[in-house]
Amino acid sequence: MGLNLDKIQAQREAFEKHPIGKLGLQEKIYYLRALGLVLHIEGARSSRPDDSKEENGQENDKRGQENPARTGIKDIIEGVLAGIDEFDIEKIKNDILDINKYIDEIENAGARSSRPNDANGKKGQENEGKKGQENPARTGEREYFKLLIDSFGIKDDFIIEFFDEFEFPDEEEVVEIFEMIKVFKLEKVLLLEVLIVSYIGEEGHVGIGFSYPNARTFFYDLCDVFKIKDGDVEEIELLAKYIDFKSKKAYEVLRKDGFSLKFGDFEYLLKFYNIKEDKFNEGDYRIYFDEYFGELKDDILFFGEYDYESGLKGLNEIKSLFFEDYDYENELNKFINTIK
Amino acid sequence: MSKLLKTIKNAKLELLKFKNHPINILLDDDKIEYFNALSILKNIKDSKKALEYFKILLLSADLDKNTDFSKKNEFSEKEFTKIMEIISKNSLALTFLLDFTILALKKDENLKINDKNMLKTFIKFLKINESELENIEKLAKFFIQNDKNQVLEFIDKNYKSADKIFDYLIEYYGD
Repeated sequence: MGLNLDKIQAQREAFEKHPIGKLGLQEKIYYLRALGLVLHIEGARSSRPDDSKEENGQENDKRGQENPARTGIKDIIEGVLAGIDEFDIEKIKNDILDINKYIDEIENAGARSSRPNDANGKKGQENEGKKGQENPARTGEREYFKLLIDSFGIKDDFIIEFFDEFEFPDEEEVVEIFEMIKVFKLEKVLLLEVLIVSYIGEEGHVGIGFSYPNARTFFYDLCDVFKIKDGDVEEIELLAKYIDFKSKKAYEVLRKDGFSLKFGDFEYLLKFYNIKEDKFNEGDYRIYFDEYFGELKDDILFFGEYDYESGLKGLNEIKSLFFEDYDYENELNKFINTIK
Repeated sequence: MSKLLKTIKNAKLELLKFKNHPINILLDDDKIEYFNALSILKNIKDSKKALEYFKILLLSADLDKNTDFSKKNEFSEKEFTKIMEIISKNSLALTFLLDFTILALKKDENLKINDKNMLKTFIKFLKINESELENIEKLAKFFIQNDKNQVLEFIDKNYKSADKIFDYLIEYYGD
C-alpha cells in the first residue's frame, strides 16, 4: 500500500472518530470478529492464486460464446448518440470529464485478462508475476485492520487472530457474534465497513462493486440477518460506492433528509479517504461520467476485455467527442464500424 | 460453497427463525401436513430465497431443515380437505395464507396466475373472505422488504382484533 508517515498519522486521527471507538472493549471485540469474517470468506478477496485461475478459466470459457458487448454495443452507442443533445457537453468538458482515467482503466482491464496473444503481452506477465508474491489487496486489508485495532486501543497482536491464527467459528459462535452486533446496534456501521473492506480487497478497483460473489453473498446475508429494510440496504450500498469513489457526493447522501445513517458515524471514513466536500475529488469525475455515459463505458470496458485494441480505440473515440472538434455522428459511426 | 460461508448461512437460518410461530401448536404429524400444503407451491427448490424461507419455517416448527417435501405436491381431494381442516381447526388459516404468499413472492417477485388460483382455492376451503387475500399480499410484501414499521402498522390497523394471530411477526421484529 506504500503508506507514508503523514498519511498514517492522518488515518489514525480519522479512526479516532470511528463510532465503535467510544464503545466498550467487549463491543469492539464482537465488532472486529464480525468484520473479520469477510476476510476469510473464500473468494471474498483476490489474494488466493486459485481465484485468478478460476477467473481466467471463466473468461476463457466466455470467449467461445457470443459476446453480449459485441452484439449490443451498436444499439447503446446509437442510444447515446440520439440523446447527446441533452448533455451539456461544455460543462462536462470544462468541469468534470476526464476520459484519460478510463483509458487507464481499459489498459488495466487488459492487464487483468489472460489472453496470451495480447498486443503488448502485459496480461500474461502480470498474472504470472503476482502468483506467489505478497498480495497488495491482502496488505491493504491488513493495514486497514491494523489501523482499526490500533485506534480501538486493542493490543496489536489481536490482528494475528484474523490473519494468521484464524479458526473457523462454528454456527453457535457466528450466531453469538451476530446477536451481539444487534444488541449493540452496530448493524449499519458494520455493513458499511464490510463493503469498504471488500473494496480494499479489490486492489483499489473502485466503484465496480463486488467482483467476488461470496463477498456479495456475505453482505446480503448480513442485511437479512439484521432485517435491514430494502431501502436502507440501497442507501448503505450507495454510500459505500461514493466513499469508495472518494466522491463528495458521500456528503450529499449523508446529509439528505430522511437518510437513515448518521453523519457522525461515518465521518471517520470521509476523513480516512480524504474526501473533501468543497472540491471535486478524483472519483467525482468517474461518478459524473457514469451518470452521463455509464452504460456505454461499461460496455466498452467489457468489450475491451475481449478486444483490447478496439476497446481502447472506442474510448479514444469518446474522448475525441469532448476534447476536439469532431463531427460526433460521423466519428461515432466510424467507431461503430471499427468494432463491428 | 466455502465452509465459513456455509456456517454463516446456517447461523443466518437460526437467527431468522420465528420464536413463536403458531404452527407450533400442531402435533408433529400435523406440522408435516402444513408443510405438505405449502409444498403445493411448485418449484420452491428452484428459488434460493423461497427455499431459504421454507427452511426457516421448518426450523421455526422444530423440524429438520433438510426435510424434503418436494415430492409430495399432489393430493387427492380427501387428503387436501383433511389438511385444510387441520389448518382451519387450529386457527392457522391467515398464518398459512401468509406463509404461502411469502414463499410465492420470494420465488417469483409477483404472484403468478397459478399461485393466485391456488390461494383462491385455499380460502374456499378455509372459509376466508376473498378480500383478505389483498391484505395478506400487502403484508407479505412488507415482510419481504423487511419494512418493520409497515409490517407493524399494518398488523395494528388490520388485525388488531384477530386474537394476536400475528404476534409472532411482531416478536420477530422486536427481538
